[in-house]
Amino acid sequence: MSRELISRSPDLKCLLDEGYEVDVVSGHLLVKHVPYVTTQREVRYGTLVSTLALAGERTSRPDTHVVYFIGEQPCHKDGSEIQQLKHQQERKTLADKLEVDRSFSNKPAEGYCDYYVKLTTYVKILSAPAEYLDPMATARTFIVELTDSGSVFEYTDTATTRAAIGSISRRLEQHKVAIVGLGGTGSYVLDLIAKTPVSEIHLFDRDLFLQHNAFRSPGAPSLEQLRASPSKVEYFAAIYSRMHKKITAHTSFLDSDSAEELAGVDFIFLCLDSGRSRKELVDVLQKLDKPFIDVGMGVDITDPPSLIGTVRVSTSSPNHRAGDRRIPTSDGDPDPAYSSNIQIADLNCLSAALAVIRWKKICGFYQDLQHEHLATYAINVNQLLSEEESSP
Amino acid sequence: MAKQVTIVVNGREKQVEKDELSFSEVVSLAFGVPTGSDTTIFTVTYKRGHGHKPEGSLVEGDTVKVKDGMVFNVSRTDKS
Repeated sequence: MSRELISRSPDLKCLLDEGYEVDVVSGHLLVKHVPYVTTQREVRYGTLVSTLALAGERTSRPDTHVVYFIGEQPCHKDGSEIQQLKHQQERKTLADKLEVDRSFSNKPAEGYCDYYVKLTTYVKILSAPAEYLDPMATARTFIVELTDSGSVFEYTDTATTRAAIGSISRRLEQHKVAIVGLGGTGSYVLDLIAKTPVSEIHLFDRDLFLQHNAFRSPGAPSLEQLRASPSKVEYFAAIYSRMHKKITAHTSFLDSDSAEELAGVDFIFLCLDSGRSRKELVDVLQKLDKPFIDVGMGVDITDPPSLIGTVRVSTSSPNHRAGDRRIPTSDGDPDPAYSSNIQIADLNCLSAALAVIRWKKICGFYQDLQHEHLATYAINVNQLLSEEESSP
Repeated sequence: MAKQVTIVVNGREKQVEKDELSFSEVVSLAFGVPTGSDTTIFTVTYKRGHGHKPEGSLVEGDTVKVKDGMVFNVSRTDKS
């Protein structure tokens, strides 16, 4: 609700765009992280709170010039009270979880015409002495933490709001996504999916996160984190839950017996390193009529020694299932001439990016004129091929 | 009589005296002749082939006309 109110009210939007830490709680407008000087001549940060006069879904002219404050008594740079504020100490509970310490009154002749003028006037009065003592002190942090119980994020995706692509981004909502396999590619898929507003993210992998995994995943664990030998799903869920609230870690091995765990999911990313488990899961997913993307890479050593390889992204939907000559489904010959276990982080990252971009096309986020169900990237000729084209 | 062409398969130059190659022949050029019954699925792509379809991929059973300088990549794309 607060996000809608802000986008419909030019004065609130202006405060947000200028980087003030705006929030709307129980019908009150908050501006947090306002620097001020205490009687002890220290710089502290407080929150200005104002009632909101609304007309339907947007703000109207402020009905009072009075503002509340959560913080100590604000002073000039010498520690003396700011008379201009006609400060009144009154501890009050304005609403559930909204308690204030004092109120200020600074009334211009005609009153405040909107909430931008009202709040920035008080911010300036409080912060000027603070900025004198600490030139880095500012209320304009560009941090946005809106109380929005509907959001899957811990903090607002301001990259989307700044680019004004909110309505397109909404097409990624209401999807329940599973990532099966949190190895190199799966972890990069998670890194990207966690930044989208999907409603649920389910991680499946029964392996531990070991030292070599660190060199094929996003981020950089500490030696302590490696020593703890966490399970892959718990390690990654902990990191990405800092951003996305709806990540569930499953330390189970997914096979035809347990695969009904995927019944409630809308889309699956298969990021496996075994042909055999791939075969089982592909069969199950086709039986459950689920759309999925399967990724795989093959890297080999050539002569003179350097690396070659191919990245593959196979898209499978109810009306276009991959032929059985396309997806590797057996573990084949253990002879090293055939089997290479080389994986490189940049290729894991590329595979994941191609898979997520392709999924976003299915959601309608990106335009798709190709509708390829097989994409391959051959490294040594920098060749991205689109094949098995059909309507979505 | 087919003239000899030089193609690249998995980064290595190969001399080939044929007009066209089959999927299995390309795989053999990459990894040698398969031993026993191998159910491995390979991703095979090519580039710099003939004019009408200079690039694409092959599956088992396909053939493609070869050209001097054509590049093939054969891979088991099964790792993630």
